Amino acid sequence: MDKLFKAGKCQDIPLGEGRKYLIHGEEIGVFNLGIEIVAISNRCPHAGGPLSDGIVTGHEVICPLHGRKVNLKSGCVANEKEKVKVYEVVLKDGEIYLKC
Amino acid sequence: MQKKSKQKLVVIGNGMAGIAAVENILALKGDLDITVFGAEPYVNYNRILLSDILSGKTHPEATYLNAREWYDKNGIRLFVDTKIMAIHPEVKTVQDDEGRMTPYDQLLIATGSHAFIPPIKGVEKRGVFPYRNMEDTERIIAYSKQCRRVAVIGGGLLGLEAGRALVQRGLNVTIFHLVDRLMELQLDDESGLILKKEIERLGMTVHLNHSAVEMIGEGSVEGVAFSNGKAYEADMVVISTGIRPNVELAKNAGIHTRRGIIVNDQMETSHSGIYAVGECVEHRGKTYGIVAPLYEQAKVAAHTILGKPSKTYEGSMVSATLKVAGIDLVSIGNYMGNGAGCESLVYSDRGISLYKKVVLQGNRVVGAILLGDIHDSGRFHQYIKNQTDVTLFRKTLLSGDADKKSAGPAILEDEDTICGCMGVNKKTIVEAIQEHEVTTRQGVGEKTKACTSCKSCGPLIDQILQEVLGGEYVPVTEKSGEFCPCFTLSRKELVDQIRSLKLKAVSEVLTRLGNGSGCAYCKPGLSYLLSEIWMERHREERNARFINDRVHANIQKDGTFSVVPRIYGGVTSPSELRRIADVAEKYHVPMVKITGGQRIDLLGVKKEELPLIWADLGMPSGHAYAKAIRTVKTCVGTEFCRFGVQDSTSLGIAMEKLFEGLYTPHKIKMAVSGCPRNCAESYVKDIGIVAIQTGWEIYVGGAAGMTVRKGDLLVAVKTDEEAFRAVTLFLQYYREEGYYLERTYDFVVRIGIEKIKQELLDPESARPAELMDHFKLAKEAVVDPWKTESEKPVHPYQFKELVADG
Ligand code: SRM
Ligand SMILES: Cc1cc2nc3c(=O)[nH]c(=O)nc-3n(C[C@H](O)[C@H](O)[C@H](O)COP(=O)(O)OP(=O)(O)OC[C@H]3O[C@@H](n4cnc5c(N)ncnc54)[C@H](O)[C@@H]3O)c2cc1C
Ligand code: SF4
Ligand code: FES
Repeated sequence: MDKLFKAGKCQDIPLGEGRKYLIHGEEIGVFNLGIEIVAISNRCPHAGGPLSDGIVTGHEVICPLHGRKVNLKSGCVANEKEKVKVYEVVLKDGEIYLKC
Repeated sequence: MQKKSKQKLVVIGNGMAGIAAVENILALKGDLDITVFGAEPYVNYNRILLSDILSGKTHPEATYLNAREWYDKNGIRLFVDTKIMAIHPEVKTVQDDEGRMTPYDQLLIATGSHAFIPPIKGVEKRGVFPYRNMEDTERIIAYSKQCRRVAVIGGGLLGLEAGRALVQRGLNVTIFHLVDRLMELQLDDESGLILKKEIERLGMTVHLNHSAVEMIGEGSVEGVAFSNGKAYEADMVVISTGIRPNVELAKNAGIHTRRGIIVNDQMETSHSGIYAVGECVEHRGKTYGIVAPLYEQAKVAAHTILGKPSKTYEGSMVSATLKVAGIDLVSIGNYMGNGAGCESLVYSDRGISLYKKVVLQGNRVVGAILLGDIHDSGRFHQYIKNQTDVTLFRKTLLSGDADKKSAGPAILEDEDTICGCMGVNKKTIVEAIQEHEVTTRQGVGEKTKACTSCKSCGPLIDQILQEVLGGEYVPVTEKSGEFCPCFTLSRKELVDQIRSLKLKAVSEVLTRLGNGSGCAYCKPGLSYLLSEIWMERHREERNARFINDRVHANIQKDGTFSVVPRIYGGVTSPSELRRIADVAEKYHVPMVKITGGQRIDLLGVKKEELPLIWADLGMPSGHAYAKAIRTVKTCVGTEFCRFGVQDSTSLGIAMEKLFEGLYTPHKIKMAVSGCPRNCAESYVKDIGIVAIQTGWEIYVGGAAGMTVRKGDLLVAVKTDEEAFRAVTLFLQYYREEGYYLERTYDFVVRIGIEKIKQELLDPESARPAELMDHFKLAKEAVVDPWKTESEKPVHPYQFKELVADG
């Protein structure tokens, strides 16, 4: 069954940016979109770029290596077939929990 | 065997449609003897751009579509300033205004249309102008110089364009419109209302329900009187009340005409061997006043003329785009929703002047109005054209958020038209990108002519570039004057607004002036722009910066970073080298490399170790990751070299110290060479200094990367002080005038070295004093990012590795 992992407070991630979290060796990018916190697998399907280091616009993050656009809510990559995994985020008392 | 002489094709009208037909004939390798007559005294020009000439944004020559050489090269005889007065079908000749008779085997009529002038008393008065061609435009410009108030009669597409252009010339503009909403041929009530507000926002006054009856004034116009009894003062009047096809010539020759010259699906008129295309044509009862349909007609006519009548013209869906900078508006097809079973889906927000309407008939889109946000107009075009059944995503039709379904160019077919103005399809653009290796909108424009007119297809072309080139593509749209597709404002308008509204942060600019979210291109671009405008006293928002600028290091393929400390002029010392070596060992840096820029690179560093390494090194940042002052390469000069004539090493080190830490539109690399042997490669640097017997030569705009270019000589000076001054002025000038991501090799070419010299060196110029002041202010605010961030990072978790606990 999915387990909840505590990933700190909302303000640990600055507005409009992402941060990388390690959970049992798995890299997860957690993003603060202002109105919500979202989490996806941190590895770009193209060549493994660290998505949490990308620029966020709207609901998308732009991979810092070669500019693929990844939708933070659906995990879809613009113009590509691959998807990245989307993780469920639970917020409790300003604390972020990731379901994985 | 006797050689058959070529068939003679005569074209009447050197306008957009006629020449498009000729271009199609050439493309089909048709071997005809072509003669073109044009009543205007110019080569074929782009009528669509007249408003840009009117506003002063461009000049007539820039709108020429085909140069004289093009006609010559293709063996086309061109008679400009020559009007055809009669067609004699019985003897297959045309007669021009000099009485000359020219025989034809086939005749193409492309006479376009003329401005309709309603029966208003006194329209012949001085200062009253129609607005249709180059001559009208030039007369309006000349006359406007003595005017303050102008009345535009007609609030349709052209009237509004003219009004906006005249506002840009500093005139007071009032639009008078006959009916109760602007652009009634393209808009419904609600969108008309929002448009009126937007037009007023741009500084025009609008009076609806005003029917002009008289031009008042003695000789010259002084005002306009209306049927409702009102009258208004005006020094000048522009009339834009519709167009009428030029049919007289054809009619007099006995060719069937109604409103236009009647043609069938092959573009044949009632007379064999005579064809017609363009605004002068009536096809299936319809006449057209925009270019996209005319280009389709031209293609069909070319096939018919060459005896390849497989292609037919079946009429066009019309889509109108308002080309008024600051307002985005597209109206497509059946926008009113008149007709059996039509339903309208509408989203309207007067507060932010946003209106979206989609008309459905059955489950298919048949029309749309988009005002305030037109980025997905391409999607609606496709739905209409492909008659897509939208039942499944009707819910998200207006929001366009249907992720996959939102029309990326991937759903466009090869044959789909991308640029309606120039009639360019997707295939042509994709081929241009692949075969000619073009990587910008501009490049696509040069090869295909796409996006050289109204530019509304720009975002779509960006998407195709992205699709073909992959993620590497970053749209650099500023070259065309606009900042980024996320904004409707040009770069200049944007800067003015940022100053007057005192916007200090990227998010403020995006919400107040842009689309709210921005993109990966404009967020960093705005960050630079703000830092430059407010001389580093802006409000920094890290989320708008590329990762390199958040962590002051260059990201690498595996997500690690590189550290390049500053080594002034490439001169180091044993103790500095020792420290670098110690750090490399302590942190197990995977690679230590001498760079091409005369310094040392520590590669493969983990993000979390960056601040520790910086602190241990105790050296300032080399900014190898930023759009900033990079290296100043030097050679050994007079200190050691037997040829050296000046001390290049000392000058280079001093320059690097003076300029280090300044951010620039794109990176700046410099070099100082001790003699013209040029061992520091000064001729191919952004700023290169070469010692000569009498002092220094300063070159700017050199390059030896993707582009190789020798710099232009800015000036030769005698002393070090003069060299510092010249370089400082150029650098600050580039900081203020350069577009984001524009290297000096493009910048210097765009502005022109002569203009740069005049601005920076002319004793009369006021610019140098101002540039010096700005430079000093910016320099005062410089801090070493490595020092500040290793002592106190902007965010506590900027460099940390985070582990979630379970
Ligand atoms: C380290 C270095 C290569 C080396 O091992 O020697 C280097 C490495 C990179 N160069 Fe370079 N360039 C290096 C000298 C040059 C030079 C030669 C020079 O500076 O004398 C040039 C030609 C001059 C010029 O700048 O045009 C050069 C032309 C480029 C270009 C092409 C720029 C252009 O518009 O023509 C790029 C791409 C870009 O800027 O968009 C680039 C981009 C890059 C980037 C930053 C690519 C990137 O975005 O990740 C490379 C970083 C590698 C990394 O992972 O750290 N590098 N690069 C050199 C660092 C010099 C330094 O001390 O700062
Ligand atoms: C200010 C302005 C802005 C516009 N903006 C847009 C836009 O954004 N998008 C869009 O799609 N369309 C726009 N249009 C409309 C577009 O310019 C026309 O649809 C297009 O130019 C028509 O092409 P044409 O060849 O049929 O006619 P024209 O381009 O008018 O060419 C006809 C030519 O034939 C010549 N001619 C006429 N009679 C004779 C004769 N007897 N002998 C010799 N020569 C003759 C004329 O002098 C003229 O040069 C705009 C028009 C104007 C005026
Ligand atoms: S030439 Fe420059 S950009 Fe290309 S691989 Fe080498 S370092 Fe990287
Ligand atoms: S790794 Fe993400 S785009 Fe290449």
